[in-house]
Amino acid sequence: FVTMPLKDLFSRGKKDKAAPAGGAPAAAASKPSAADPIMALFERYKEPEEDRIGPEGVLSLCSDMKIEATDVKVLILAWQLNAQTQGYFTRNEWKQGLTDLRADSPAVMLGRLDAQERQLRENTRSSAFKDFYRFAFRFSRSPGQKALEIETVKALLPIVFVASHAHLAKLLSFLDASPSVRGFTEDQWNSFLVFSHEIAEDFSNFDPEGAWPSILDDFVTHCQQ
Amino acid sequence: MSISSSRSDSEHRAKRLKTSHSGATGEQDTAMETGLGGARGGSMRNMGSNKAPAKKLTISLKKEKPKLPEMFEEDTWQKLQQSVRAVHNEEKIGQSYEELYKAVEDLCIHKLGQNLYVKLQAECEEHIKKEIASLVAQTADAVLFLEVVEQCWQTHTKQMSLIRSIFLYLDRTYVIQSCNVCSLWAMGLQLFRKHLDLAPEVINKCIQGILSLIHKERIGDMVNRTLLRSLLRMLSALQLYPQFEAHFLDATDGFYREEGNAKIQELDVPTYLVYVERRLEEEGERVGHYLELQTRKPLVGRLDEQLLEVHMAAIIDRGLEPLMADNRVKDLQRMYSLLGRVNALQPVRTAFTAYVKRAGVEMVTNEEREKEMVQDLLDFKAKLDYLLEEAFDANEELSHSLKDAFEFLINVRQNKPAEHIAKFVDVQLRSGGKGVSEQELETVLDRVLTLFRYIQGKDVFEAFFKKDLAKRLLLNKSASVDAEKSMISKLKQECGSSFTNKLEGMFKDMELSRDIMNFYQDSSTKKGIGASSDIAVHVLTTGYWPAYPPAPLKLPKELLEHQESFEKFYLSKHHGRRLTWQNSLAHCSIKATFRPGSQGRKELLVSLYQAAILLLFNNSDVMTFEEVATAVGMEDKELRVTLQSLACSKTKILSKNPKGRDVEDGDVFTFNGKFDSKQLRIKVNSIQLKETQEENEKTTESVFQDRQYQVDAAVVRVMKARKTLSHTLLISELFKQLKFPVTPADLKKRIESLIDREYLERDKDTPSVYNYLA
Repeated sequence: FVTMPLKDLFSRGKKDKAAPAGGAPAAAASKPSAADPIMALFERYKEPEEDRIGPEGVLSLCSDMKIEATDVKVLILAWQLNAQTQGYFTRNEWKQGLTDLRADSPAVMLGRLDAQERQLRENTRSSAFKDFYRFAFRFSRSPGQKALEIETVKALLPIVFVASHAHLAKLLSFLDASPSVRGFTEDQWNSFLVFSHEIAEDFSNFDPEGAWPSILDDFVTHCQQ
Repeated sequence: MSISSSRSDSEHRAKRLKTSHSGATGEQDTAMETGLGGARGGSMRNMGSNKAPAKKLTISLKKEKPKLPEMFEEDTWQKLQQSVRAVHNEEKIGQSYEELYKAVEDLCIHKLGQNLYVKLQAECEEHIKKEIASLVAQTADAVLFLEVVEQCWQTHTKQMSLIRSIFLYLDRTYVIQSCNVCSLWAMGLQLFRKHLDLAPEVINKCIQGILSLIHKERIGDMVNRTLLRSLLRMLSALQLYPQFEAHFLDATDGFYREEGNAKIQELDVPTYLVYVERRLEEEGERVGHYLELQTRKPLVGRLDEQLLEVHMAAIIDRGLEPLMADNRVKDLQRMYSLLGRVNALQPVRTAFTAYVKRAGVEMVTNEEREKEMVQDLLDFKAKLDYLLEEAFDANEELSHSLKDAFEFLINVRQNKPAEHIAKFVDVQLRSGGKGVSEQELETVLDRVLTLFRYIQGKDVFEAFFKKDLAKRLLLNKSASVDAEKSMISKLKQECGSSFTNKLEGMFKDMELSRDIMNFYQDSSTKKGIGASSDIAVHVLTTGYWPAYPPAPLKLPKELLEHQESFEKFYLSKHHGRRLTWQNSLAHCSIKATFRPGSQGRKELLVSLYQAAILLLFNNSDVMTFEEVATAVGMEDKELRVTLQSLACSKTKILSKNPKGRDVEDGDVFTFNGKFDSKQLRIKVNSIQLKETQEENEKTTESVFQDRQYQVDAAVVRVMKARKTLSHTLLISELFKQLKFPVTPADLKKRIESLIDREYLERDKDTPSVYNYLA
């Protein structure tokens, strides 16, 4: 069972969706009317059989927000909601998260998420980014797995970072050239963030005797050849 | 008439007796002194022998003091001068020595000593001046000149000596009593020196001449040593020796610089060293023959410098290794003692270490000579010990260098040396090896232990040694229990008892097994089994013995009976224990009948696997591979190897069709009724003793696995105690605790694994710090 790259994640289960771009709330009549616009949104997107928003709902939401399903804002949303399961948002997660976000419609959500995205991009050294980055790892894991498959890693890194982020391109090519690396542990993932902030372009301040996970030692050796 | 007598100084004041016979009354007596108090005043003592009636005699001194004759000094000096001139002219002296002596004495007594001295000095100076002037114009030939100079000097000394004895009185009185006046001899030297100084070319010519003679002698010609000696004594007396010495040492420098440079190019090192030794000896002799003793030290110092110090590097670089490689003790001794003179211990040490390392590393890494590695290393070490003792005077620093070098070279290659040392020991302890005496065996083991001491990864040795020991014990292959015990105690001394606990446990198991067997034989459980076969069991405590992989086998019925019986007996005695039968280690003795009659009956010593297969042929003469396989239920590879040992080796108990070395599917095996051998008892189980490549690799692997566990355990232990620790501190703690070689990179990997398994975590704020996770 192979974990899918993130972009496939949200396109799983392409059943026919009823969500038009920003249309009327769907099938709200048979549900108790939510006084709360946030919960109204929830009702709009949630799975018919379950009390949570599923992949189709998310897709629907994306198109209402006029963003692609692969947009990093989706991940940011998941982070804001502290979603525990990929592809699903529970009622509580939704309620709490959107309340914190102070958003009650797709348009507002879009605005907030946009702002968030900009902030995160601007300062990757902030504690917010750190939190987001670490969340991304845990969120992207297959259930029951401790490590993240390397294909997912390679797909996820360019999403959380801008392309020009320090060492990113080199790391990706290193991973391509190292078939023996099958995945990343959480420790390795987290360490890369620190590495990218602390280590110079030419690795001049890199100490191989230091506490870096050995995969980063190998990475530096590879680049220096 | 006055009688003159030569009186010594001490009788100087003796009173002169007057007797009436002499009728000397009234005569002047120059020897009369005022000290004769009794003569004054006029009364004379009446001496006993005087028989005449006592007359009163009155002696009255004349008022005038006695006067010297006017020309006394002149005349006396004349006499003396003549004598001096005679001496200077090598003529016979007119006067007698007594006369001359008296003359001197006379003058001295009358306080004319100073004048005399001055006159004498002037006289001598005249002469010396002339003599030296004559030297100036002399021949250019160095040797002749020297001879002339020497002659002059000899003459001078002889003449001065003579003059001195004539003027002895002067020397002993006036000279001594006056300060600033040197002795006559010294005066002579002074004058000689003074005029030489006025003619410096004489001195130079002299010195150069001497140097050229010395040079001549150095290049091998004979020279007049007496001449040299004499001249150098002269220079010494004239205080010109230091001047000479300075030139001499410079000349020595130049000479040996040149010769040293030439010789070091031309000769090989040992020959060069012999040459140096010879030169040192020669120069030492030179000091004895004619140089002054004080020159010895600086002279030798120059030689050391020019011949040894300057060429130290060349001597060591070119000489040390070849001499050591060829065991040339005498030459090495010479090198060591010569280089010791110029404090060359450091460079020697460096070169020595380099040689040992290089040669040793070659031995350790040479894959073609792997089997001989240990013997080669032992021989090499023995040779080095011998050279250290004999040639290098057991120098302590070199001894340390040797130890360091061995520690380096033996660990250059991670595991093979340890493995081979264990194998080597196995061969020594196994029976059937060469018959060495107990003493010899002890020596060999001690020497092997010395090598073992240098190894860093001792756990590799332990694993192999244990495996081999198990085989020896179980297959009864030890040459001598004493030797085994001796080895264990040596290891214990070396590594402590934790190292040898398990090994000792193995021995204990063997003993306990014997006891158990005795009980079993007597037990009722046993009695119930048929007597057609018997069983002996070794019970091994897991943990003491190496781990053996499971070895499946379907036992023949007869053996199964025994096995179950024993197991029942044992478990009745030891509840709660679990027995696992190790089929790979068991061996059997089988009686086989190939042909009727006593000739056809043989006893076969086989492994259990072989036995299981052979017993099948009791039921059928012919079996296919597949049939055998089904019947014995063995692991495939093991089965093929075992069949090979029965059908394809020298002792063909079975025959295989088709013939060939390897056992393939579909082969057919037949009982070989035609099998014969001269021996009654035939060993077929030697494969059990042999080690395969695979086995060895597995053992090494297991050591590495074990090391990983040890690292993990150490990390957890340290972190549990410290709770929080930086990466560098953790690494250094681990290095302290772990006894085998390990790199920081290895440790990092284990730390990461432990992070992943959530035994510890990386600190969120400081990634180079770890926190213990309870």
